[in-house]
Amino acid sequence: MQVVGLTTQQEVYVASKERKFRINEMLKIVDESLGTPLGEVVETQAYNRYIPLSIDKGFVDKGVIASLQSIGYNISEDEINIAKVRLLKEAPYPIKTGSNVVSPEFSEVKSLLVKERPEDGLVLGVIKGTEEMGQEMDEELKDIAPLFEDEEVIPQIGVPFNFKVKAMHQYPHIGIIGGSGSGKSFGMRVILEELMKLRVPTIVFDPHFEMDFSTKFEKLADKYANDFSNDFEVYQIGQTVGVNFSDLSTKDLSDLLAAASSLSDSMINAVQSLHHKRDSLLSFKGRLEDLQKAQELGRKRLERDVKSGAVEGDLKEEYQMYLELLDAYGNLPPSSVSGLIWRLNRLEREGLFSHSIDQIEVGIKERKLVVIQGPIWLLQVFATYVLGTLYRKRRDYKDAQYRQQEVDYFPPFVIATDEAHNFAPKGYDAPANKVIKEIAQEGRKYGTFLILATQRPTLLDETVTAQLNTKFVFRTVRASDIETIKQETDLTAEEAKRLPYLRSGDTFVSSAIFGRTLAVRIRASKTESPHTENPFEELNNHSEAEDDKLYQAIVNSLPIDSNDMMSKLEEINDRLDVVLERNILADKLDDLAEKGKIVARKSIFGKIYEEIE
Amino acid sequence: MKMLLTEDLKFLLKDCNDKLKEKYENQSNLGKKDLRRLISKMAEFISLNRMKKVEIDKLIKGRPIIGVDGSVNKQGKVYPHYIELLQALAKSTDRSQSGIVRHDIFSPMIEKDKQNILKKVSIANNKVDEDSKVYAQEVAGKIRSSLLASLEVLVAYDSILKWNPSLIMMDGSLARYKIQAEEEWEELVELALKREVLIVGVIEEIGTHDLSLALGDDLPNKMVDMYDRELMFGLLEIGEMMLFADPKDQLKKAFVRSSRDPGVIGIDLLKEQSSVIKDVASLVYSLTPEAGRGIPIWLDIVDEEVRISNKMMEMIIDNYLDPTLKQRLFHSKRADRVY
Ligand SMILES: Nc1ncnc2c1ncn2[C@@H]1O[C@H](COP(=O)(O)OP(=O)(O)OP(=O)(O)O)[C@@H](O)[C@H]1O
Ligand SMILES: [Mg+2]
Repeated sequence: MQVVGLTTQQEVYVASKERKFRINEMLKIVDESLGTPLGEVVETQAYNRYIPLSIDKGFVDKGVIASLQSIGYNISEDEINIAKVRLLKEAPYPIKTGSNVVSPEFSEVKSLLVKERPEDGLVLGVIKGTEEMGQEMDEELKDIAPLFEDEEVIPQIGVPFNFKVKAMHQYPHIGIIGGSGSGKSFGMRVILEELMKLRVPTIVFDPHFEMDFSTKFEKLADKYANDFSNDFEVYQIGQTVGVNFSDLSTKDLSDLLAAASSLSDSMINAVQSLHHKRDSLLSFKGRLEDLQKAQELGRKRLERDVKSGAVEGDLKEEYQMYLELLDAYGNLPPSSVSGLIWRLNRLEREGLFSHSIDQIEVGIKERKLVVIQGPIWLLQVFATYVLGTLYRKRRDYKDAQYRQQEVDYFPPFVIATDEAHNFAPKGYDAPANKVIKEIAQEGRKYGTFLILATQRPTLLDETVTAQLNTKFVFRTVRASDIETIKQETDLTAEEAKRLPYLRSGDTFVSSAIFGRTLAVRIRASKTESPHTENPFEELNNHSEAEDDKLYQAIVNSLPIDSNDMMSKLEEINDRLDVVLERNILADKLDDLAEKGKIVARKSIFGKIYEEIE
Repeated sequence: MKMLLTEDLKFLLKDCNDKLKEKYENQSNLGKKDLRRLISKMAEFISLNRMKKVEIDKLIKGRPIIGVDGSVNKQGKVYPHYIELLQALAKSTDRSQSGIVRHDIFSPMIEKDKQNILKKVSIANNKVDEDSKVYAQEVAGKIRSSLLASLEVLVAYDSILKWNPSLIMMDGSLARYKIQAEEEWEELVELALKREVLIVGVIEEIGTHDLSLALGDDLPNKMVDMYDRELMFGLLEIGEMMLFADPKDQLKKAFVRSSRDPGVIGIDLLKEQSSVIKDVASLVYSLTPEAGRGIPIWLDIVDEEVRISNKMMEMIIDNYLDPTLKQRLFHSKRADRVY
């Protein structure tokens, strides 16, 4: 390997006849006068001096190349490999052309690639282009990050990528960016597994219901597996967790109602006047419904009936209460009131108000990873509420600590979410915007860190984006997103050019912690999402199961004569949890026969269904 | 640089064009068919096929093929102030073998070469009359050519000893080696025949007029002094060979149209090996890119490797010649011209 052509202080070209270059691999340039600088391969090319030669002297056709091969000469071996190499540090003057180039030893680059011991950091994958150094590594770095390629788990060959989580104290927050299918969720899973390994308290908002860690990744050998069952909890909004209505501020409440369906100005106005501090769901909902009733009856009728004595006793009291409500809120449009009731009911039906966030708090205090699942519309507001509450607790604890007051311990924690552009969108105000922005800007002070994944970095609030000190950039095709990435990371033009072609699971890590961009392949996860079943396979599996159920129900009644089904129908229906009619049963039997599970024998009188011998 | 296109110049060019046109396009000339008929008295037309792997294997029997080519680089321009670096290469298709290279240097400024030139000039000039006097520059050119030819023959010879090839492809006519490097050539032929090594010369620029000489008065007046390349232009189909019946100078000769280019290349073989000329021609044809200029790619590859670029030549001279000497003896003032 040799430096060829024009060189600069930042870049050189290296050529080799024998050796192919790997993108991102490190090379050492033996220019002693510059202290043998290190560089990274940023572009690779192969060049055949005889094939382009044909461009001006005539195209070399395939037949000729084959004939040449027949006489023993393979023209493709005349290829010269060329790598564009960027120096890690700018040299004081250009590299000498002709300088020898060698692969560095691991010890020469260790400090650049390894910032933390594996047991203290997040072991997320393998640094690409380090394959050649893998053998010389310290033992503790070996065999800790197997990869998943072409549906198979393969051993780690290069240097592991170990994210120094402690450095987040200085360089907080992580962004995970990439198009659909690029490996964000997979990468997030691996990050979360590692956070559990370190027992970092974490809240995960999971709009896709995919973050469960109880299923071991099937293809992974047991020696790499981990049992996370005691390290995480999964809660669903409305099923296991919810909001304590009386904790809600008026703002929280309007956000919640708006999440159910957007609110008009007059509705917001109505919430502001109708919601009282310490209201319970009962008191608030009662007030709304009473007001609605009062508006339906109308002030005139109420006053008349009360005056005329047409209503007495309880009813009279009720009417009087209605009148008071009308005095207080009568100017609110009835349509707004009924709109609020409709929204409140929707939330209530979701079970949102039947639970609390107590378990979440317990989980965090136990240093667990708490996954909160729910539909995105609900998750957004719920997150606002949860984050507001927990962040406040942590802040209060820290502030009290600064003031040297005794308070209950509340641990630092990490917040992770997919679809982050929904939580903190650019350009308009979403419920969670404020709290996420606040954590982005001053979470570092309180030990609260964000991990935000999004397909659309362009739609994410800029102040939040700017605070993400580490970004994992996966495959991205959309030009506007690539533009945003170029502005928000230190990815070079060559790297940005490669973004559309990255494989799923390959990522550029642009991090203030490493001071430069690393190309990384995310390791095989230890667990897998419980529902990675292909939807089409799911369809087939489902009907298989149905067929099987039916078969079990009829097998003991075989043979069945098509002329005399009624006699068997009852016993079959007894065995099934549905009731089949005669002709439906006939259809199903034909279907089973078609699939070869039973035999339909034709006789002069009709069909007889029989068991297969 | 601006070309001054004067009326005069325009006239000269037009006139030249008209004269050429009259000679080559005017169909008082023979048509293609008639010309082929005439030629068929002394030569045979044969169509070649591109060879399949099995056919190639049968011909070469697992032995390598060698390509031989030479190159000359010149530093300085005007006699006698120049130096020439000659190089010949024999390259095997067996990639594990590095090429056999021989070098030589020629310069009229070197005493030995100078004496050689002077001797030849005086011999020639003693024999001939005044108006065909030979000049030292010409003689120098011939000496250099023959030095190069012997270098090429020598590397071919070496390659037989070293690699036992099935075939040696030389860049240029075998006749040239026979004339310009007689002694070495005889030895090469002897060894090649003994070891059963085929030798083929591939000629890109055909400079003979064998056809018009042989056809003589059968040709229309205007065609009698035409060169072979002119007569052959467009005469053959792609992949067609025209094989001369009688070996001349102990060599069996043929013209082949080996690419889409309407011109032909020449090949020649030792008379003793002429029985396989069709196979050898087919091999040459198979190795020639259809859209190329007719030369087998293997010779292009050898050529590319042997050619020392002028830039490199300059560097070599810089490294080994004293700069003041270089400036004094070989520096061409023209190189300083700014165009
Ligand atoms: N590190 C990896 N190693 C091997 N395969 C991977 C890796 N990351 C992702 N993949 C493959 O790519 C598929 C898609 O990845 P993933 O679900 O993480 O995409 P995504 O970026 O979250 O997409 P979306 O935005 O649509 O949710 C995975 O199911 C897996 O097969
Ligand atoms: Mg995903």
